[in-house]
Amino acid sequence: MASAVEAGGRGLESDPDAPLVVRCLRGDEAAWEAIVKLHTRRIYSICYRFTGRAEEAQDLTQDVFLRVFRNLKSFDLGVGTFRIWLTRLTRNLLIDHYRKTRKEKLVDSIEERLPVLEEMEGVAGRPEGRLAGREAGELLRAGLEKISPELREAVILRDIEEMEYREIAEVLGVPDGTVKSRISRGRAELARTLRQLGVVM
Amino acid sequence: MMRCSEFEIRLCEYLDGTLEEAARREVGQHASECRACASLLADSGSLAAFLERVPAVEAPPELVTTVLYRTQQVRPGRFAAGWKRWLAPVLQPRFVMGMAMTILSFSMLSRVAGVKIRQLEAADMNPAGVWQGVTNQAHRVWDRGVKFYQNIRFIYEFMGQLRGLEGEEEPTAEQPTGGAPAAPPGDSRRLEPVKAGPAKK
Repeated sequence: MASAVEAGGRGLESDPDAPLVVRCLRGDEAAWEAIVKLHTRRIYSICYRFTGRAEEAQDLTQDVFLRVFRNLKSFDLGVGTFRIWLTRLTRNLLIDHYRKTRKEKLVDSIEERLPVLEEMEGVAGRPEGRLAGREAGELLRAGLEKISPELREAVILRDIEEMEYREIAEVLGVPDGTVKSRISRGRAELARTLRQLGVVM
Repeated sequence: MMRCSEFEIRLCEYLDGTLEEAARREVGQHASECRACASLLADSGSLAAFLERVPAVEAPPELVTTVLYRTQQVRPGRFAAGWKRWLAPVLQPRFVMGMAMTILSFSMLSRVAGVKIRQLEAADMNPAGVWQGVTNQAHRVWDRGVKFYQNIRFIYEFMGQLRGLEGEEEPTAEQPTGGAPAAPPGDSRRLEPVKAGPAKK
């Protein structure tokens, strides 16, 4: 805790969340509330895009913040921004969750998704321009689910959450070049999958 | 010559429009020569157009409240957890029941011993006073016991002597019928109704 508070001075300019984190570490409940309000939508969005399921995304978002709450002391303001730290924590939780539920999902995904996909086929045949937002969202969900988690996370963080390559590299713990190459391959694979689902690209 | 692995990396910046002119031309040239990389470029472009139609994910409005509620539950838990761990063996129903029985039996004992809790004062709590009180009570209980024993002994002795007197009187009253056979007729008279009972059934 002491190190984070001392480093607060350095982090203040570069990290917009730093003052809140410092206050939070001093036991300020309002600061914690502000942090939760600021980041919930983004964390939920990442979880939802990665898992493709609303309930799972809600549970995971709660788990993320519980973990943040317990481990805030270990966050070093001098090293990186809170946003990246939070995203890395979320990503690690998602990967753990993916490994745990992989076997169950293989079984239920087809049965569960069949009606949705059938309904989608009629929709997807239309030219892309006429796709409604909700339908496009459903197709993206079905498409993301089919590509490997390694490429999926790269595409989500770049194309949906619009993070910088450098930030994504920090989150994933791989070099910039690897991030870019995963994004390119992920995009291509997602585009192919969407075409298979009937989207006219 | 650019290799395909390098093309994958450069493609990101190419699409972002952040590449310098020379590098840009190189990427374009590779795409025109390599079929696989050309489709990678086309797919990435069309995916970007598709993603623009996908609306941002909105978190359920109650999620922030749920997260705050769950972290609130953890916060007091930090202190409570420590106490609970120490008190865990004490907070079991068995122990509480035992404690209640102990208090009950002590209160009953103190009632029997004549200690009135309501009239207790600080002065009564000094060790000499307590000791005196205890010995006093012990003597009284002993004396009471002795008196009770002696009373009972007196009664038994008195009864014994009374019976002795009766015994002496009896032979004198039945002397005319002749000493020993006096008992049998008395016995048969007493036993008759007992024998008749089972016989009637």
